[in-house]
Amino acid sequence: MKMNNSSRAIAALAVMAGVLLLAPLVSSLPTGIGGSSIQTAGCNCHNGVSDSSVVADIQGFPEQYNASETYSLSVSFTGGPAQAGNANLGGFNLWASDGVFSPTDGLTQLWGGSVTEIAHTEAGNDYTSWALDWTAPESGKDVDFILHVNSVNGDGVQTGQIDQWNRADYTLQSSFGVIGDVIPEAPEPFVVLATLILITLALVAITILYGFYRSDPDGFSWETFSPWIADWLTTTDHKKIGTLYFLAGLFFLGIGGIMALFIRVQLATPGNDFLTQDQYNQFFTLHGTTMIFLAAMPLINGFANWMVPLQIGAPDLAMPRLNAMSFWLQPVGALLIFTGVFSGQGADTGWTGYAPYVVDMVNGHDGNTFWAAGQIMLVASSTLTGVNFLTTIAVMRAEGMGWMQMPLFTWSILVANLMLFLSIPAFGVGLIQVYLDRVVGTAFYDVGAGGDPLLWSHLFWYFGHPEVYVVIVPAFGVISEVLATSSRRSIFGYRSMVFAMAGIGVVAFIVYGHHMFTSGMSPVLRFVTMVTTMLVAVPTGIKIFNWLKTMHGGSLVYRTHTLWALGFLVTFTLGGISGMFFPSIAMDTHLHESYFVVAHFHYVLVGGTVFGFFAAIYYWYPKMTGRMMDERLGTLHFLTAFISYNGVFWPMHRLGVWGMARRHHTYFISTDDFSNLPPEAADWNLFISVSAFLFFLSNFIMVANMVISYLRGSEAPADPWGGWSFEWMTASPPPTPSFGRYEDGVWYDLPKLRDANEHVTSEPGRFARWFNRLMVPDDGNEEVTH
Amino acid sequence: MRVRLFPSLGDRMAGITPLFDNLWNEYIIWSFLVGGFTFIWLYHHSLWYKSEEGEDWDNKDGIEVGVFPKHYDNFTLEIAWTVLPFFLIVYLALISWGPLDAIWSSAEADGGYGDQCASGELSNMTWSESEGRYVAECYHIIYVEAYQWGWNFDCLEVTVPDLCEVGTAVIDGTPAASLTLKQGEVYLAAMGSADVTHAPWFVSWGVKEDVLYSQGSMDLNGDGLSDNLALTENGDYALSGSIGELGLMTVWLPADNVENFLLLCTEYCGDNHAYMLAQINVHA
Repeated sequence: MKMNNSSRAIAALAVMAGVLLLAPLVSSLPTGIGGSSIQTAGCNCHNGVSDSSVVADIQGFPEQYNASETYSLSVSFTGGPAQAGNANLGGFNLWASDGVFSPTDGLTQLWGGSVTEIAHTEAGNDYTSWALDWTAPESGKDVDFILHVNSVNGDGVQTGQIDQWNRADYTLQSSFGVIGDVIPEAPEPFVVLATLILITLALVAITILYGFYRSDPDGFSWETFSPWIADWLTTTDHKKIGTLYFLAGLFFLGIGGIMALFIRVQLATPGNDFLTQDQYNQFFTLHGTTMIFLAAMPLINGFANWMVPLQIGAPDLAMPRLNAMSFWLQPVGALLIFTGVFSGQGADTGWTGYAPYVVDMVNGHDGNTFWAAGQIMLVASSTLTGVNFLTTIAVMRAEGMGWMQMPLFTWSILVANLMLFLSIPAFGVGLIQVYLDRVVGTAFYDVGAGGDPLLWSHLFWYFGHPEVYVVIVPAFGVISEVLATSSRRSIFGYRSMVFAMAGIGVVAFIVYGHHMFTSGMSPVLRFVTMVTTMLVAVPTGIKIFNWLKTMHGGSLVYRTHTLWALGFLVTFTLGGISGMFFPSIAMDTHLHESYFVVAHFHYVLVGGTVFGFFAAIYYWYPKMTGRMMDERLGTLHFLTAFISYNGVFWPMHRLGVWGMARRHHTYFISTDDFSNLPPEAADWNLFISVSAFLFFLSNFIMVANMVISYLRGSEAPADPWGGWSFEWMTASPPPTPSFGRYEDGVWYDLPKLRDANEHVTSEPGRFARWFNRLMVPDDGNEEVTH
Repeated sequence: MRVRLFPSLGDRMAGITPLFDNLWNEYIIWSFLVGGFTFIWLYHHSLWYKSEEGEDWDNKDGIEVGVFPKHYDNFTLEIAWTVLPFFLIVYLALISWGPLDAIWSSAEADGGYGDQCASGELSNMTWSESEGRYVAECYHIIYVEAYQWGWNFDCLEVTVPDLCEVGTAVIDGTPAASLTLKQGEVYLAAMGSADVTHAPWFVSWGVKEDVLYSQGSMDLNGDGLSDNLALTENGDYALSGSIGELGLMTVWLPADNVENFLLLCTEYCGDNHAYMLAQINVHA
């Protein structure tokens, strides 16, 4: 009888499952015992079940442990076939839920790249007792121990009925926080984080469901909900994908914010033990990675997906299915990155992932592998996004829209994607090398094998510095749109704004060396990098002065997005000024890796990028939803967030100058024995932590405003603010396709841009012609439109 | 005379050593000028040109949906705020270059501290008003090695305990290494790493530099020591080659004040990074 394909597949799977069930899940070798399932399945490699004649024991446990104290333990067993004269006697594997094991002699070794698992060595295979040290954790939770011991006859055969094993379990309580006879468990931050993420996900799901219900309360049914949600999950429409990006970005902005709050609770007082060092390291790594790659980038892509086709008069992006794929790579990448965290072995390298620590298999976490794998997904996503936007902007602009008539937000997305497209391959290469080093055992960053850790620094910062501009340049585009519209003027110096953005894009690639000033760079190169880095201030200064001049002679209307744009000018200017301290090498040696740096980049990335996004939300929300946002709530959001934000980050300048180092789990106040931070540093840290909570909470005003406005806001007209670009020409929200109609393979009724400057219409300048040849090489001097 | 702006940050301004007071002051002055200029302009325009929603306004630039508006520009102004910041940057780059050699050295560079001191010879470091920095007759070479998560020091050929002594200290309840140096002496720290990348930060001196793991930092000859060091006939340790050959990082350590302060690691290096401490003692 012939088997069909399904039967064959089921049979093959059954055989594989059987093999997996029969195969020993644990290895017991002369060089140690271990295996991924030893804690749950036992040491089944010596026998199917344990044997009670083998008695395992640990001596040296205190009644209750003291935090961070080291205890000398003795592990032993009696019984079984082990007896004097055997070639080998046995082995052990001891696992603890927390703390750090340390071998004290050559008979034991850390196992599985973890400090919470220890086993015998080859030499230790000839003993029935072993000595080791265990250092208690810093927090006061109960610690579980699982001990497996093998008693062997020494014939070298692992299986059969002769060798025997057994298991013993222990729980050690802490002396920390004893109240009567009750010992409270310390909160497990990862559980708290996971709970908060799940609650946030549930709230998002409830909000989506409620939004769907409210859109048509009478017609609501599960039969209509199913195709509605399926449509969102499989959509290729740029507006829906933009919304998905936007929701994902806001979600991870919240998650990154929650991790920031964990960090701030830890630093609220010196010597705090809310987080262990290990947990703190994972939180700041995930905070940076989440904020840059899972919050800022998706938010940019959200606005870009929504607005670029609308602004250039295109019905969609050039490659809609590729666009969907770009988006769906992101949650997969995020899942990989967070997988490490929930295993308790999250990435702990910082968002910079410096080598050789990132490939350190002993002290570094297993989550670093997941981190690299997830980042590779995000690199793929960003590359595909870059291809899509560059193509769309190059070939799908409306008739009459030359390069120098594009809205500045579209220009900013073009420049950002050009930078990303040229820089992110270097990061991808570095990540693949790290992944191979960790998984396959290659030696790109293994110094002992001739690898070079500085290679990672170069690959990372060749991408990493332009990446900072990739996330700030779109905010420049937003502010240009918002300030000009709010001032009811044309942007001052449109052409110099474009050249300034392009200049930033070019200079971005020749400045990254300033991140490596303290890594032994040659003096000549230091000076060159110092000058090029300082030069970034020139195009940035042009933009700031042009924005200010845009208001001159205008009629500035104060709306919420205007407030955020003005707030952006304040904070970004402050961030730009503090940024001038770092290219100055002599200053950089002092301020590098201090809280002055933390203050600077948060003034640029939050006061610049995030404030720009907030302006964009209030500016384009009516277009995206067809509803106006509440201006009173918007003003309240601005006032509370702007004040609390400055309360968080401004004092950090002072802490940095005093000498508080970043990425440190704690800080040290001066004592009689040594000087370090002044006592006021503790007060300022507490102030910052309180401000951080206020800043975090203040943003829920905006979330509430978005939800309330979506449900009850007044209907938005097509052009509520008086803007000129195409997105204000179409309805709010726009139909699908956004412009025109598609019949028999041809688009009809697409918009055409008119130009109030008659002399440049249809006559692209030399720069535009050159740039057009660069972007669309098959075309001659004609500018391409779809 | 050294003057430091913002005395409220004052003596505790650990990150900024006297060597950089002038640089710090210049940057602060220019920060205030640029920031002040920008913010006065911003506040003036945002209040002076304010209007209300629904108020009539002059559509000077032909703002109309679907129409690229009239250009609003001024070539002279745009050139002005391109060129003037450029000149400021050139100036700041020049003044930033000046004090660099005083504290951040390549192995062969002349830091203004003469040659290596002979055994027992003193640096006699003094403050040079004309150069705006410390100068000395000679310097001592010491060795600093970073490892996960602590520091090893060696005084190398500086055998006089008054000039250099290695010991232990207890910092925040944790045992750590200590290095005792003498006020008025200049030291050149040759630095390596025994595992991953670290960055010693001598906080009170504002000195920091990455130290990289290299083959020289390994213990390939199996004597329990980094191969950067070799045991000499008289029982002391010495560098096993020149600083350049061994690829060691170097920084100048001008011990200007009597104080005890911390040495931190400022390149993230794993679990106990925050507690990778040592105590630096400078005695009279």
